[in-house]
Amino acid sequence: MATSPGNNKESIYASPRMRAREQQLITETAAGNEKAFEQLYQLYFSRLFQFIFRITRTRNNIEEIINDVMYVVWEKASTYDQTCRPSTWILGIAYFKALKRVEKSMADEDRSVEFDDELDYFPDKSTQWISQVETSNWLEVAFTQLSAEQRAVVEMTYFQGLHYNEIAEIMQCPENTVKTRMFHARRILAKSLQED
Amino acid sequence: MSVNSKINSNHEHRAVWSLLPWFINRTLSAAEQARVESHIKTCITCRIELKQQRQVYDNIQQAELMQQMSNASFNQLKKRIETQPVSQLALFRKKLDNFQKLFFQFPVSRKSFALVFCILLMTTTFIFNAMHEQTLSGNEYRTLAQSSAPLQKSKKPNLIRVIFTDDTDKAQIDTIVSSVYGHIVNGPYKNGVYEILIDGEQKYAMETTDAISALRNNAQVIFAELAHVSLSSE
Repeated sequence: MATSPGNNKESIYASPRMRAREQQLITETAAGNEKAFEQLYQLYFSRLFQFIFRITRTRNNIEEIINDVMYVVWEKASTYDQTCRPSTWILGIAYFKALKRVEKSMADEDRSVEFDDELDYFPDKSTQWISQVETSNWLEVAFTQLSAEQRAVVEMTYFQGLHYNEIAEIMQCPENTVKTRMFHARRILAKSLQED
Repeated sequence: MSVNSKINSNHEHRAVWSLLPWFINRTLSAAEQARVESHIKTCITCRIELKQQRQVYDNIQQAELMQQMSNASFNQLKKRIETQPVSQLALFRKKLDNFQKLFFQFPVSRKSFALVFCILLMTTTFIFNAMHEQTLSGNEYRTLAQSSAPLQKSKKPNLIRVIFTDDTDKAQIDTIVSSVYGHIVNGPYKNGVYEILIDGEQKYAMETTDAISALRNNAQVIFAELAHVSLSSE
């Protein structure tokens, strides 16, 4: 299990104080303390919301995915061995739940194209909503050009402030894969930045 | 530069280049950080890339995605509200607002408005009462003999109401009443009305209409009229 190497700057998510607090909350959750679990839920809600949105690119069912993630946290709190950061554990669950949703929606899209071409004539409300966010931010436009895995790496690096070995652990892939995904994402982001 | 050192340099460049995002988010180990710092001193490509990635990092940090999502979500809600059909209550409120705007744009004070409103209210009440009374009296012609007292049909068809002049004394009144073969049964009331019953059973009794005519011809009688369907004299 990886540890966070040399944190020169303590981000709000990475501070040892925050980590200790989160670990305490997970311990209490494992003991069945609902209040502690509620605090943990509130602490992670906006973080998970943004993380899941970055990967799925849709607002649909984000709350549902968050609840799926936190349900696993509630159920498996006793299995958390405290060797990794709580965020690594929770974001790891969220990553796979979000990825699963992306795969499902892609499969649904394929099926709808295959069986019902008329659906194309009706604009998807969630897409309209996303476009409103995108037009106000070049970064969001650039994000649409990345794959779900690339978006996850960028999000975990630049917003969640994680080291590549933590990201590899969350994504359950080799560190070099993380670096490669980041390499391609950087190229696309740089290009969008230049065009802006 | 030898081929080997060139290969090493290229390898180092790639390694450092791939570490730059984590150099920016400051999660590299001390050794990795020193490695990057050492390399960027001599590599302009990495310095340019570093600058560019810092920009991306700053943008992501400042993106306030939740705020943007909240704004976009609110815009959707606003659109939904705007496309909703206007409810009757909202329509009424709008009309009331328009009326108030229209009325108060004239140089009329609120006190003046209240005064006009009171007058209108009183007039309406008066008209309503008048209509109500008219309905109760069966739209009949009303005379001075009729008062605002409750209706009661006279059981006596030969009952006459009479008003005498102010200077007529009691004796004179008795004489006048006797002259038409009548006698005072009620009065005088506050309004000066006497109720006189014409005694039809007397030998020389007069017809009631004749008695009324005789009374009207008397200079001391101001008013004389049959009271068969009239109101009480009070």
